[in-house]
Amino acid sequence: MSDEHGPTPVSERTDAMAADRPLVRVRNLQKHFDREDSILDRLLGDTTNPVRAVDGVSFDIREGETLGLVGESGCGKSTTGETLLRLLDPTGGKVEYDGEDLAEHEDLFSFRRRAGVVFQDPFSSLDPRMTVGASIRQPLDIHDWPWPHSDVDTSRPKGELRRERVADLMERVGLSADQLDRYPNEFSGGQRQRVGIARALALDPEFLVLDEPTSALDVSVQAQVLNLLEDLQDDFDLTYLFISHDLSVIRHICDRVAVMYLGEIVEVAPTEELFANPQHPYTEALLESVPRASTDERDRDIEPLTGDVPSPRNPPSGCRFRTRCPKVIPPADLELTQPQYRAVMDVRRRIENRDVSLDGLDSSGGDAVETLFDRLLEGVDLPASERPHLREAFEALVEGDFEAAAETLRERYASVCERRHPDGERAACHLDADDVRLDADGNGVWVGEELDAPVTDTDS
Amino acid sequence: MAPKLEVEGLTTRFFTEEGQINAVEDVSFSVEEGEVFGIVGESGSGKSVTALSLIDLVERPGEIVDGAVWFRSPDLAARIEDDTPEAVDGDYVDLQSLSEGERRALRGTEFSTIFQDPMSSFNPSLTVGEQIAEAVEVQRRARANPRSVRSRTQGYGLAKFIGDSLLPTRDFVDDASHDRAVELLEMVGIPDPVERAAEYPHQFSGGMLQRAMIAQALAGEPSVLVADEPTTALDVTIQAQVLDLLAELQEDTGMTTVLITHNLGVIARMADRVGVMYAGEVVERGTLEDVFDEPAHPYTQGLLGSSPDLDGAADRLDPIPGNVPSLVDREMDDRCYFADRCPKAMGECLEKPPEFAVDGEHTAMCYLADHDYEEADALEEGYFDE
Amino acid sequence: MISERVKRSLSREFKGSRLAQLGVVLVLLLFLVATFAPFLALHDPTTTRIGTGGTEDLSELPPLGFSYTEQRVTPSGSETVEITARQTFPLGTNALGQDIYSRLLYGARVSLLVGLLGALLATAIGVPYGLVAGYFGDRIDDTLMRGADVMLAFPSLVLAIALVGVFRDSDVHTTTVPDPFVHAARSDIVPNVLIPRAAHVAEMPASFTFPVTVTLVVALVNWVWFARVARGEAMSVRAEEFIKAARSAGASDWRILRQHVLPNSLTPIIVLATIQVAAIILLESALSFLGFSGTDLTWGADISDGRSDQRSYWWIATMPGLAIVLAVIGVNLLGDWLRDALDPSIEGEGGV
Repeated sequence: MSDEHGPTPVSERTDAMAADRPLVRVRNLQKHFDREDSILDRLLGDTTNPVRAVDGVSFDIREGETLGLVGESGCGKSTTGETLLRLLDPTGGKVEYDGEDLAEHEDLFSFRRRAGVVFQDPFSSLDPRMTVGASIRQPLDIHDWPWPHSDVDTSRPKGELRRERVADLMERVGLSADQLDRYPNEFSGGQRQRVGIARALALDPEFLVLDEPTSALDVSVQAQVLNLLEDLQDDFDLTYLFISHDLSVIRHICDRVAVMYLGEIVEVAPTEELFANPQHPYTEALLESVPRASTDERDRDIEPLTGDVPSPRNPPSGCRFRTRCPKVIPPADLELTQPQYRAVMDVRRRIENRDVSLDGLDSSGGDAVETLFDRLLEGVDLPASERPHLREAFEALVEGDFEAAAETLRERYASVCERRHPDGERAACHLDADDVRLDADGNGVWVGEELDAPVTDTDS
Repeated sequence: MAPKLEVEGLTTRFFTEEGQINAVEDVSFSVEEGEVFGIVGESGSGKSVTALSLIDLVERPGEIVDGAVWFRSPDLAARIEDDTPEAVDGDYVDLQSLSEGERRALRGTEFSTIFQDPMSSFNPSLTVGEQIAEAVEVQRRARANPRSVRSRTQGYGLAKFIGDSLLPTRDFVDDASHDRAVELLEMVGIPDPVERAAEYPHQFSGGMLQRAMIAQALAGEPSVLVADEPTTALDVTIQAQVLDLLAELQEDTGMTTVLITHNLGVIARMADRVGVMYAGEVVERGTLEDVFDEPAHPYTQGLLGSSPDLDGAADRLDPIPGNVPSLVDREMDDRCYFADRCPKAMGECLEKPPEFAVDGEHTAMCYLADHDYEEADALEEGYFDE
Repeated sequence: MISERVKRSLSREFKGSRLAQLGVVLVLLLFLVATFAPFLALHDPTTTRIGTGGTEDLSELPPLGFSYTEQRVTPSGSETVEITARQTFPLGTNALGQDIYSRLLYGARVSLLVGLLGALLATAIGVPYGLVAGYFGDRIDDTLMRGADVMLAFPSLVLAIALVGVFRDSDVHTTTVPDPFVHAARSDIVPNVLIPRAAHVAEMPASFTFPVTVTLVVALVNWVWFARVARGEAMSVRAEEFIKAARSAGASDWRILRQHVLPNSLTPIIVLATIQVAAIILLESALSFLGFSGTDLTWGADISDGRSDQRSYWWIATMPGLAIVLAVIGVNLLGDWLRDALDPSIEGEGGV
């Protein structure tokens, strides 16, 4: 619905400034999942909207840095990691690794040697029927290590060399080498995660995707693993893509951070800048929501986001965050405060979704309209100037004409946030646009040209 | 103020094939009326079993083997004093010594629980409104006659199945109960409660369902709410909503709350007083300020030191070495269970430390709370390695 | 690799369940009897004793403890003879005077061999088929499993009869398997003192007939069950993160199937294979009862023999019937034990 606006070229410009070429360039990456259609559905052509798990994501990862990818569950961050590694086939877009487009590789075998992954679940990431030694050794077997030019004595039997390497790796990640014949169920979660890291390091990669590597661990063990990851990065010159939902961990370990919401990146910035001065309202809300482990926490006032994340099958038009955003930009000539504007927008959304009960309304006379005011805008003190617009819509509603009511509201109240896909240097938000005037509280008003015809929210 | 709950020497064990597991070991704490008491600990620390033990929901092979949970309820104490004098002490009744029927009657009316996973707490084939209305109904009947507590959701026999298919389920509950359910849904901040009450659990998002579960827990207007990891399954923005809601409800109803979580931030936001659990024991307790600002136990210090700070500079973390200990009885010595991971373990730590008072009600199970660390007594490195 | 936990679980289920113990005893018995038939048999199972050539007519002797009277036509009119059991024919004889007890022992060989080889063959076909379908999913899965469903749509007996009809005139319909014990007893390779009752063993048949077609047929009828179970397992294993980890290391699909998917799918397949042995024994009996087997030294054929005289000579059909019942019960109980111990979540699918 917003394809003509293209993806956020957020990092394109920032990268021009960076001297060195990024190790990984992701451009407009997309991954959509079709529902597992049954054969009958296929025959009947009965398909549903695909889940747009990743929908046009662009970023760069520079050599030696840790890029954080943070977002809530279902935002597509893990899918981004897996699609980047080609564990999933992308629906669109491209990934360049060290200057080469991965799609042009005939097979990814040599890429697999250079890029590894560590997964979240220490229980499912190791084969319960394989000793940990065999798990760590597997990549060595696959790639027939040692290679001719390796700096090991290749005249010795390969099996012996591999066993030694596995023992070294285990020691390196803080396990004892004599545990390599044990099975995963004899290890704790933290130890298993170390095994997973050792396996990822087996082929001496330069790039690792760390997909929530500490989320399943207790705090004390998480700290051990985070320290280990930092040490390994220094020792082996690794580049990390660190995927997590935990902002404290992200802040601790990352150099730069990309924030994802509903399949898109909404903000990319160096860690300190992002945490000190978040530009996107979503980043701001996310940071605010995390409870701090400090005694001042009780007195900290937070304004939690309202509502839930919309379905990625049918994401909102324009800015995807607008349905929960506390700073939606109203058209210029409204005399509404942000809460009032939000209340009106909520009413509009309900009308568009036909989620308004008309039971018990007498279809004649003004009483019905008043009842609707009571029902839908209870406790909202609207200025007199806006009441006629709502009245007109409610009159249509009383007649049962949802379409006309929605149209009336759309014409009057539609925001730039729903009509245009946002774009920006750092944050993908219209608040940064030149055509938006900001007031003292950081709320904006659209003062630019008249916008195109509003788009409908419902895709029916 | 007199405490609402006094837990004394609570001990819960699991008798499994691997051996006896000491999940909760001699746990004591008290909860004042109207406060939030937080229990924080890592996985395997016994915090959830403690919660289950409070409300006597430990299932086989687990068993509460010792201890008392004194619950302040003058009315109940007066009523049952003659029948079961051993369960009564002044205004307090011991939940452990109560008869099964009395204990069940307390659940929902005086004690309510919310759990981590809201999805498994609702029956997928009934609407959310029906289930909450039913809770209301059950509690109303229980108040009228404490011995007739019987929830429809407790039995799933053939007869019930046939009965349910023949009769509209709503006939079981009063209109009043249904109205109350809608009211409760509105109270926990669910928009359009009338419409949402008629929806099924799968139509709710995780956050909404957690709210609905809170509404259900509030149906009996309980005086004590036990919340076991109520926000762990939720995203931070939704967690913030739910925590806000809990704090608001706490303020409005004056409920006494026991909040169990592994998240130090959630504790800091919600709790008045805190107990820190490790290996089945409460190793430190005190007010939030005591525990967070002046932690006395090295485990508490380690826990706080190993959490990355959202606002602070990104320095190196200071993790606790090693792993959470095994709780299998035969593998446990009678020592301070943290000694093998403790940077300040001393010779005397090989004997279990008693609970020392640090300062007023601030206590810690550590010799360091009593006297200073003496390097001369330190256990040599690798003492606990085999 | 059998882990400690599995061993513990197996022994706990075994100790706790009389049925499991009974199953193990019955299956052990079946194995012993089938293997050592030449030692345990009292007579050559194929020797007929119908009174021709001056021998005694020993047909239709009742089992021990039973007797009956019969009108016999003699040169001096008819007389009533009482026919009593004989010690040397403990379970009686059939219409040809063959010793039923000895026939049961040899019949166990055929049943067990067909059961084991049939299940093995069905596993060999069904498991790779199902693993491939489940692992690759999507269209490959659709195509393969629809094919398997078509197989399932045929009643297995009808399918079996049709397949036998195709094969029965070919050379491979049956094959003759020499009996190693009898050969040893007859030759000088092994000193006869090492063979117990060597002289007796030497008189046993030197070979027995193994029904190849029937084995193929039961495998073709049963492999679909293996394919379905393997597919389900592969689908769940496929979602595990260690599969993704292997792929990220560059492992080929073949390697993943062999190293990860197959080992992690084995438990339910083993259980299913055990239970299918019983199903196959039943199917084999049914086929040989109908005369499709190609050998008459099987339980099913023996039942068929006794069928017409069921009223007067009940033991001829009943004895092999009992043998089938015991064998099937034994194998099923063994399968139940394995299932309960290894994987309580799976149901014993299939059967006839």
